[in-house]
Amino acid sequence: MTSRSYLIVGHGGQGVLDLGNFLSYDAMLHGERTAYTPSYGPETRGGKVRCYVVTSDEEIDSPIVDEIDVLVAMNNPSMDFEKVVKPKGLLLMNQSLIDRVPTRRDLQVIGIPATDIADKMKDQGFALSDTRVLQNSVAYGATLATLGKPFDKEEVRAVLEHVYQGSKSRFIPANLEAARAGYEFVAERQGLKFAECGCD
Amino acid sequence: MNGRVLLKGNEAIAYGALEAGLNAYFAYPITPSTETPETLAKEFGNSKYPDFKVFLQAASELEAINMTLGAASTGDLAMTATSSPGFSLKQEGISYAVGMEVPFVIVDVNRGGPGLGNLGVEQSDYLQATRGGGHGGYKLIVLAPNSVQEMLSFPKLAFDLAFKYRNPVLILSDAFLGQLKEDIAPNQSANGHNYDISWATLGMKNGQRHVLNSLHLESDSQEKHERHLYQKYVQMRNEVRFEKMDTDDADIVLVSYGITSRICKSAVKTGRENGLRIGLFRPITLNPFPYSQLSILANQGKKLLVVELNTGEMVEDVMLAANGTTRVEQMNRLGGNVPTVADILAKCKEMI
Repeated sequence: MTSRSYLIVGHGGQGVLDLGNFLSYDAMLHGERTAYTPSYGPETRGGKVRCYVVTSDEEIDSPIVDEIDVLVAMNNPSMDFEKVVKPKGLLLMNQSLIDRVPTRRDLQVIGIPATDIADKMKDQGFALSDTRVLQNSVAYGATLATLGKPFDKEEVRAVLEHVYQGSKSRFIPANLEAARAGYEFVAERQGLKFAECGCD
Repeated sequence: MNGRVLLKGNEAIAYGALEAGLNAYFAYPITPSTETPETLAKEFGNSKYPDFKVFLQAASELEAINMTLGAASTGDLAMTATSSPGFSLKQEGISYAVGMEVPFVIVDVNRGGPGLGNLGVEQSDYLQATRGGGHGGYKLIVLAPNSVQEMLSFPKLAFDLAFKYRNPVLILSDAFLGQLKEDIAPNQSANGHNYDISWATLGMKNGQRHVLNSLHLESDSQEKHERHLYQKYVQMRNEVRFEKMDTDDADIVLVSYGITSRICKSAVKTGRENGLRIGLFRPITLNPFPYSQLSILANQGKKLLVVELNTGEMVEDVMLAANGTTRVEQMNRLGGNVPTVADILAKCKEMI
């Protein structure tokens, strides 16, 4: 059985729950089983938010697991969850908002300035007054690259269409670009050629 | 994507009800159950669900349950969903429905209690759910799903049982299952239903006037009515449902329902990889409770560890089933916390 567990942590407004939905739906599109568990509570901007995603090629027993394969840390307090990552697990850090240094020495650590990348998209003419909200899609693309998955534009679009429906669908083009930017940032640093990743 | 869809438990309950042929839904929102009325409001008017005639947001839980009772009295498939504090408010209407023998479906998404409690997962409504939470000594059939797939399929089962026994059926979900999203295989849409509604109050439509009433002032009449209801509770015992995993050679059998039974499944697998002979017994119907099936395991000398999110509720039923023949213990977490696989295995090692 191959399974993978993700923990995504940040504060309200960073799109943490949407990012969990991206990863969960992405797994389902690839024929995997998946379970997504949000931390629920008063959902306010700035409050603590986290969600768990489990993906597997078999039926999932428990939707929450004791040890995490991939931690996506979107802000400083989320580094507290470093301790639940499995040895040799992956830590994807949003360097724009994290100045804490990982204490674990047995993790694969990838840093990406997700918030800054999102902020810099403000001049690209998207229907958004504040492009910072795209930081979760940047992290989504970065996660795909880190896991060595290809960037399939149509699949990413299908994932975004699942999460952003109705009036929110106008945000899809901006999020697609943000995911690509996140993917590119990591892929280039891993020595992958972006042109080979099936994107235009 | 091989036809699968990704849904929240609360959304799946809504689609399950629609696919069962839901006619009327009466809403009063409360976290963490609100995605069910949200989904139904969104789907209202969808030509896929021509039977769905009424969606009404009431001004309170009391209104919602009594509207459900009223609609169901006409033979319509009616449902209402709520979470713990709202479930308490609905008890009066449920008691009346049992007395009047009106079938409908209620969903309780169990959150932390008592009082307002919090929005986290608990299983602390177990006794209220299984003993009849209102007055008058009644019973509901109580179904406990443990996956989003079951959240989709149980509304149809609930309506089947409700109409079979002319008694309300409760789906006891929880804050975890309600918010959990899983990929599921969609059901086939039902086209209408074949339930017997010859008792329903439809005016003189069929040339006969029906009265649904829970008032029997004469002692003998009331006694006769209660004995009739009791006979139904006895017959309902045939509906007992449960799931067993690796119990045959187990030294310890975990007993757990709902979301914690999923964590227990992982614990059984991990425990066995580490040489612990553990099994799982999962009641699917909490009423009727699978007393005799558990009693067989107890008589075989297997120790029973009840894993539940309350300070000791289902463990009482497990002790009744064991009747002193084996050791029964409980472990719990509260307030939105859940036990980890490691917690469960540590407790098993302590019991061996």
